[in-house]
Amino acid sequence: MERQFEILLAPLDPVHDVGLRLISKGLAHKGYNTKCLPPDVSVEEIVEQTNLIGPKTLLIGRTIGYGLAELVARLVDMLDATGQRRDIKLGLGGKNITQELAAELGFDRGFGPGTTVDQVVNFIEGRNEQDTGLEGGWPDKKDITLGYSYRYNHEEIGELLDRIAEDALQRFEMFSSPGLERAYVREKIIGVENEEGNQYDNRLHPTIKTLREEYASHCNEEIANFYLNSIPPSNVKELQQEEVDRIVSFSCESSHPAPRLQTTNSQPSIFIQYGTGCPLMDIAHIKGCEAWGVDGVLHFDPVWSARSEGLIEGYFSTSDSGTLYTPQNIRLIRKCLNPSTLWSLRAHRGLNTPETVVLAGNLGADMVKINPFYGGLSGGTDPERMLVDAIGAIKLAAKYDLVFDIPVGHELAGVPTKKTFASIFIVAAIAKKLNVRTILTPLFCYSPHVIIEGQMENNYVDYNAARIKALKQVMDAPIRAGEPVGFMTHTEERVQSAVSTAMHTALAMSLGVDNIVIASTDEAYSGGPIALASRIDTLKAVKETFRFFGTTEILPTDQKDIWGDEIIEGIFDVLKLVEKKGDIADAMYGGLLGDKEEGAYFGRTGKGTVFKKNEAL
Amino acid sequence: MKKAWKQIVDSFDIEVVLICDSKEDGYHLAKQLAEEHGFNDYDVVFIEYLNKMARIRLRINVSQVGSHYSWLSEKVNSLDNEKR
Repeated sequence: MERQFEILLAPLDPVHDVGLRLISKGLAHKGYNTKCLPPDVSVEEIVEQTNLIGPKTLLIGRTIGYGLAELVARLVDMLDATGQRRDIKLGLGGKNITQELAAELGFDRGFGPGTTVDQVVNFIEGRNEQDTGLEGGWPDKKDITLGYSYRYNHEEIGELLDRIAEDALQRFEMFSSPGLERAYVREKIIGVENEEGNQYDNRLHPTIKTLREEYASHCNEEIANFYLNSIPPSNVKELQQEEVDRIVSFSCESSHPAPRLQTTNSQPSIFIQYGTGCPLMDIAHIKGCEAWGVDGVLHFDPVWSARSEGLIEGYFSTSDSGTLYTPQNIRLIRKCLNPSTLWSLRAHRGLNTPETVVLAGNLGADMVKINPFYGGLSGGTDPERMLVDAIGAIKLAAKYDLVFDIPVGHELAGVPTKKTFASIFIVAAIAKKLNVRTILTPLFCYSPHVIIEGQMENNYVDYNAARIKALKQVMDAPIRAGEPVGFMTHTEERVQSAVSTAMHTALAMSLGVDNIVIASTDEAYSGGPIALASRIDTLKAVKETFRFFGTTEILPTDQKDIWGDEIIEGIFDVLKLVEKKGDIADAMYGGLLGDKEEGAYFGRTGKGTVFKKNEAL
Repeated sequence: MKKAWKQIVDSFDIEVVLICDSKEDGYHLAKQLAEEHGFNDYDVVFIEYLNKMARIRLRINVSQVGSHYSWLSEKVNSLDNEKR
């Protein structure tokens, strides 16, 4: 007797059967009993086979062409006539085959080019077409810091950093700021909300009412006005509860495990940045990126918010670039994320750094961004205030077991790598003393200093490779390439932009980077907001890059080592000067970590707001 | 029945090559193309002129950030209808 085959595959085509054979092989690999007929079989022969072996599923492969409709109609008719049609699931695949066409021709499902085995399995098993059938449901969130010891690989630099970090922690221990005080009040508010339920109307709760008044006392006039008189800032718009409910409903419907971008486990995770100004639009963009395989998302807040003393509450959008941090906005976005999506909040450059860490720690973020040197030298915030807030924020990160990454945006202003990397390591050393895990985030792109010095005149490979080498030779810590990779190489032309991102991704992967932040193909377009389709452009480009390179490596020239060693020597020299100065705030004001000639300007927002803890505000 | 226009998340692009005399001419024609089709909110994201031809990416903005998103209300309406 003929063996019982579950699935019969028949290439109803004179020559082509490669697609069907691949599917057949994939199904067999997943444990299905399959039989694949050779090309150039007739309709009659197929029906004879189905009659003989009684498959549960019949998959027909056919390159669309003249006579297709008549041919497959005859097949369906014959299956009907022999009483087999109702017992067989019928699928039709091939170039230009669509679901609609397949349905018109009497098939249960159509499969176009690029069909995956999982999609066919979904059909066989009667699952939703959108269900990717990924085994085990949601994948676990990737721990980017896993396996790193945070040991210093460069002993002398390590000893220097240890002393600088110890001094900074002792020096700033006695200081506080309105930002830190608000963070502590916010913790109390969230604590009461957690006890009473997360209702926004908890503001009527007597304890919360008192806490909100206390919070307002640490805010600037505009934000205090919101808490005391319910007057929101002029450039924000409150969202309707109905819209909020709708986006949650939409996100529930659109949450499905997606095929990964990576083809091997060693390939780095991919993040995108979002911050359209509206949490509803952000969520639509995030859901789109999740569907196309992104591993994590990074929240960008507006500049004016970072320069305001205090955050407002409620569901709000703003007309500025960047989406407001409010407890409600943050909760809403968290609620809509896939369970496997990593989530980071930018908290490094403004007056609300500590409170952002409190929100992140309480409302489900996986990581934040903190670098007071960036915030103080090109983020617009007073360096001393930034340092007090950042060290307090790192202590809060320790409390909530939050990882944070240390970006070097001031290198984009023109500060040389040796200085930005020295600042990265000072922050990492402080975190290390407080047992907080960090991610080093170097620029992985063209930058003003590099343009002036000419290190990328020949290629984009060697200097980026030198950056990574230098970081690795100083500390055993995870690295995020950013931010985004290829910044300043992108143009408004979408193919160039996607290719540049893909090439930088390939190089970062080859250098063993753990995490990569990518731009959309709208990165260089300044005429309007980023379109979701442009985000998908680069995700597609990165996916193809991972597939193409796998675990192979790109080989930089010897120049990488020369520049890498120069950067390490430079970091060492800068740190020696910082230690000699005695105070990292003085070092920053003295230009040791970036000066005006290099494009670093001390921020003024929050100047004079730091106070000793035992002194009244 | 859903209206396709209302399902656009944010914007859509028209990628096209236009025969023209200069980059400025191509830019003008791209704007004209948008207006001829009744689009008022548009932008030329990219234009590259070479040898009497301009390769253009023309963006038609549909949903402005912070505005009312038709794709959101359409989605809910269809869910409501299904429930009924």
